[in-house]
Amino acid sequence: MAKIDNDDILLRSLLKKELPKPARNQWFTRNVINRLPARKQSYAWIEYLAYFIGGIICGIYWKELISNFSIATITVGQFLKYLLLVSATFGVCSLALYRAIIKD
Amino acid sequence: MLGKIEELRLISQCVLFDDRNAFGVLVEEYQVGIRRFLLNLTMGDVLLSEDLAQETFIKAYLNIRSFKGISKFKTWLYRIAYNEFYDWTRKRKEERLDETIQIDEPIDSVNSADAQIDVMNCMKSLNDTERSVVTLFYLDDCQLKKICEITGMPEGTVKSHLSRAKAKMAKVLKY
Repeated sequence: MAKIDNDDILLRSLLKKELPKPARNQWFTRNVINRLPARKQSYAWIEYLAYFIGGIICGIYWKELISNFSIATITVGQFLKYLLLVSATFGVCSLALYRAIIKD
Repeated sequence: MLGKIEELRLISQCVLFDDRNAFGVLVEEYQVGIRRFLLNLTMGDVLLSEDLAQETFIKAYLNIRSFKGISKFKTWLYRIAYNEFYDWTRKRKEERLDETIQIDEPIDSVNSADAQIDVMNCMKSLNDTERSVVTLFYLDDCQLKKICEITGMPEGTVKSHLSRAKAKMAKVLKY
């Protein structure tokens, strides 16, 4: 076993010393980047902006409804507004999450 | 040398934002190793090894979403480089595929004035698979498990190739 280990050490140092090493190539990275396919034009930012605006609007309405909320005097209209707002908030958040996770 | 977290950050930037600058940092980090690996596999063919190395990084970028982070990024890159080399050998028209060149006279490398030629002859005596395994084991200091991940061969097969390669090299180098 000691002989095998010594042989490995000898061989390793011989190969590392004598085998050719690649010359420094300052253009290699640039060449690789230039050969990458062209970037796809993305309009996803418009969609994300829409989700953001939707979230802000939902937030404003939530604030309004919570500040005017009174459990003793809740009306059918208010209940329906709450239901609509919950659906809208859930919809916006789900879509935004879905697009963020499942891209393209 | 990039840390694991820094590397994952760069990969995430490539995946999420198509950040070419982040990918450029990864290329700079690993290009020397990949180019050396391919240079030795192609027996010193600089143009071919440079082309294969570029193809390796391009393939890596195009498939970067398939990198699961289970193995190291370096191991994944080497796997692509290894596959690129083998795709090239399959496309080659020459019949020299996996043939070894017989070296009749063992050369005493300790006394030889041109040790580099001796070592090159030694590598030429190996077939493509043996040369891959030797390059990974001796030059890149890869553990057997990592060599198995890169080449897709079982550990027993890797050990067998390594053992045969050492015997051939010993015969050539006479040590």
